[in-house]
Amino acid sequence: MSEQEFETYLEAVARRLALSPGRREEIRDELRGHLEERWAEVDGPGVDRAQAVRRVLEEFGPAERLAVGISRPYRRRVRRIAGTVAASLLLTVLIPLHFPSAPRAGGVDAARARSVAGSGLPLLSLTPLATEVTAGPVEDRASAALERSIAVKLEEVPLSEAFDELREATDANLWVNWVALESEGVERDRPLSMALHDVPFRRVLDLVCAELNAGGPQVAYGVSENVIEISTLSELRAPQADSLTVRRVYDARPILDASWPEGKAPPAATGDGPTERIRARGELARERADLLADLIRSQVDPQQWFANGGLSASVNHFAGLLVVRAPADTQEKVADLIAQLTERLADR
Amino acid sequence: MRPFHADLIRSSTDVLVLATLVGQARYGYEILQTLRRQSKGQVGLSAGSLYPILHRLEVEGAVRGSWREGTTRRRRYYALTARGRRLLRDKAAEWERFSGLVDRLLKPALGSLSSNS
Repeated sequence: MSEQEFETYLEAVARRLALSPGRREEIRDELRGHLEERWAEVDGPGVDRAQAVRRVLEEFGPAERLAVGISRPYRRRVRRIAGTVAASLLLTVLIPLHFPSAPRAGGVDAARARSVAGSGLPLLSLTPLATEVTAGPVEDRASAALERSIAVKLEEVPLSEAFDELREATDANLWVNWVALESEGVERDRPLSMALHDVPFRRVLDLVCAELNAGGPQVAYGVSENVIEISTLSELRAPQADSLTVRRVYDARPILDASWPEGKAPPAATGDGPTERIRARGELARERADLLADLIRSQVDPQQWFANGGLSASVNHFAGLLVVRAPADTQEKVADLIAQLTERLADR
Repeated sequence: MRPFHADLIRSSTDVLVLATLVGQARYGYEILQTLRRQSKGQVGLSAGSLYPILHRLEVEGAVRGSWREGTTRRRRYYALTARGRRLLRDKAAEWERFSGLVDRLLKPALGSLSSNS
């Protein structure tokens, strides 16, 4: 097809398709065939070419919209089988109310690391389960996510996308240490295929690790402070910067529940049932907690945070609690920022 | 005849697309042409709407896509699966129930409207 505009359009669509490279090419071919055929019908003597090209492209709509429309169904490939709403509610109630917890000095925090490296050996327990009072119920949430049954149907899906979907289906704080993975040759766009039904999330992770390890790398996962970390075995075993970082749990609920400047109050009753209202409020709180985490990462020692490419600090949230792991001096600044925010918002 | 309202079309496009595949696998462009022809121009589904629907139906297992070599180009054909046929039957039954209901409710209402006016 000589029409450059069509190729430009197809390129724009393909670039926005959140799918594996193979699937992207297939869709591009399919759309190209349609454009060619339609063009053959439209083009002819006496036709205003520019106008005709525009008309044909209009039938396809904006590239972005088409790409999102086509990608969307493929992105729902991991489903949760059994909801654990009741369990989550119970955890919320059980969470101790003494925050922030006393900073804890270092130690290996990879509470449990499991691997199915190479040999296909059963899961490997690395260090004993760390015990910490305030971590208990929070940690249990990660454990609950690992036991959650899901259905997985992935066909040549880029690894990074597969992890996104697993995260979404399980509500887990799933953190992928790409630096470590890539150092062993496991790339983000490595295609992954898997079809499982009604299998606990931990088993899915075992199988993903097993598949990634087939070529030699030693990918494993560990659970620490409510975060499921996918990394390499050596990284998970290493004490790393743990001896320098401390963890604190902050109660962010006064901030999340306060009336915010832009007036994003929790939605009032809209005639929906109580469950919907609780869910809507939960979503708003999660959205705000994300914003709060972003704020912390941008205002306090930005270069430290894993999310910013740093190597020593992370922030996660759950049910209005903020779990921050960072060097002690960063931790002080975070505490200060949270205190300021709490105070300012309480004054409103 | 005036084209149908967009909302009405939108809610039934899955069924319309599936219906074009009964007894014969078709490719995207052909599906649009078939729809236009069979509806005598009243259903003008756009290409931009068709492909998201086709790919969703495929993910849902209602159709199966496969490449076939044609004389000038290869095309991706979509065929109904058993699940797609079942879906189509269910949707058609649902549609009949709905149109029956509209008949029962709307016609008397329209009748009394015109007699009042």
